[in-house]
Amino acid sequence: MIPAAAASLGQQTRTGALHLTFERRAAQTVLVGEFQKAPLMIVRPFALPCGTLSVFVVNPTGGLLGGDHNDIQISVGPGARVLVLTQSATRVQPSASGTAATQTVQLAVAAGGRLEYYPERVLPFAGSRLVQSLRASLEPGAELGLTETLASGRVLSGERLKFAEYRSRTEVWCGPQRLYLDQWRLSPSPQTRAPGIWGELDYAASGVFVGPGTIQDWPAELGRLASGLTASGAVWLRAAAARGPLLDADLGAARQALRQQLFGASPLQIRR
Amino acid sequence: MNLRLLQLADSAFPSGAYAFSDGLETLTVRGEVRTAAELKAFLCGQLAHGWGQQDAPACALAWTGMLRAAPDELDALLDDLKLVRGPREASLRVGANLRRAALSLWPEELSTLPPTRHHAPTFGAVAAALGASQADTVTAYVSSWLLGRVAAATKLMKLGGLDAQRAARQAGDAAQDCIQHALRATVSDLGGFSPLLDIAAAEQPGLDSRLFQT
Repeated sequence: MIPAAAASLGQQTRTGALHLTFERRAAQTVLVGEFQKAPLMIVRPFALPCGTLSVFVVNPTGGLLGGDHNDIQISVGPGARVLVLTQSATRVQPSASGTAATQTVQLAVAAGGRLEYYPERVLPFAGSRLVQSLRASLEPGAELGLTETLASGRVLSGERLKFAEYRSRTEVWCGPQRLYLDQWRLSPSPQTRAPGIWGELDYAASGVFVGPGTIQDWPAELGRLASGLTASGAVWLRAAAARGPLLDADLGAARQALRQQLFGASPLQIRR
Repeated sequence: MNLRLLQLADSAFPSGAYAFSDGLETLTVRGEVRTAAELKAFLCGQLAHGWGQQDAPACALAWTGMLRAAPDELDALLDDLKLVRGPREASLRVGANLRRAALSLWPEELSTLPPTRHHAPTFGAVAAALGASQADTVTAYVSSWLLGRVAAATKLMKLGGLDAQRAARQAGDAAQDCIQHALRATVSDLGGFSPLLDIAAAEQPGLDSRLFQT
């Protein structure tokens, strides 16, 4: 039997919050407002050679536990260029009660602003549940790049498809028009290994890009990555791979190609 | 079961659904679905995680009409959730063909049919107007998809008709689970997870030769 104090400790949950506001001032993007509540925090923003301001989101704990909630809000003003990354994978751990960890991400980008949000992959541990939603609200003329990556589990430890549930809803709006909607819902079953679903692969990614340019050279890798236009004109991305580094390489190349064509942007040079 | 529902779900009904493989063609060309066992796995996978989590619930919800989901809301959701252009446009074409044929055959019964565009909401709304029960409607819709895929498989693979039908029979439990899930679903449940079929469907227009339309 679990002692009462330990059981109570095990039921404690955390709500992390990270609210960031960026603006363009004196020809530079600056962080003008921030609210950080542990365990979510950022390391000091730094400008990339291209002028984009880069921010790493850090979670120094062991990850999201069942019942935990993350609240992330990012606002980008006119002309600002922002890249938000996470320092490490999001590890999702189960709770004794089976409660899901939750995360909501709200992004707002003003006309002429650009926000890119490329978190590291989600690693759902055995028995874990994650329910997350991301909503991006764009003004006409705003630019957006988003990718989301899921692993089948702690693959390097041999733990695959042992999580209980993964739900991720991503939507992008421009005024009253929805440009993109994707809803991954996966409770692993023997059918998850079917051809057409995940096969024998362990990594998958999705993404959406919105910008003023047109795509002439669509990112594609046979059987591993595809892209195209949604019904409302956003660019979607799908990728899958057997190994994380291969997925990262495919995804990185696709991001650069889309950034260059949609945003007219030079390649990102990220220092880790 | 309602005779008109059986007619609506029959492969000979002029909806044009037989002309599309929704990515199965790419998987067979690439050698990922070559045998009856792999076909069964493909069918079960789609019922559990792909088509069965999106189109089957959309059909069930459309049957309820305005009670639980407005048809235009379902169509808008499917416009967005079907990321890949080929399956998205196939769903719209088959929906339009089905609607046109049904209105021609049963003009009085369908005189108040709400506007629908995609295949799933159109099937659900038409079947409801023809007096079919919701459970029968979804069962017929799932059966129609299942048998449509095995018919496509016999054209795409070295697979006899009996072996293809056996694959469909072996997917029976997955089909029943799919139907039960669809009958309980809400609008917010529409989704799924089939990244490899999405990629395959996007690659289909680039195949050297094709039996099915993109």
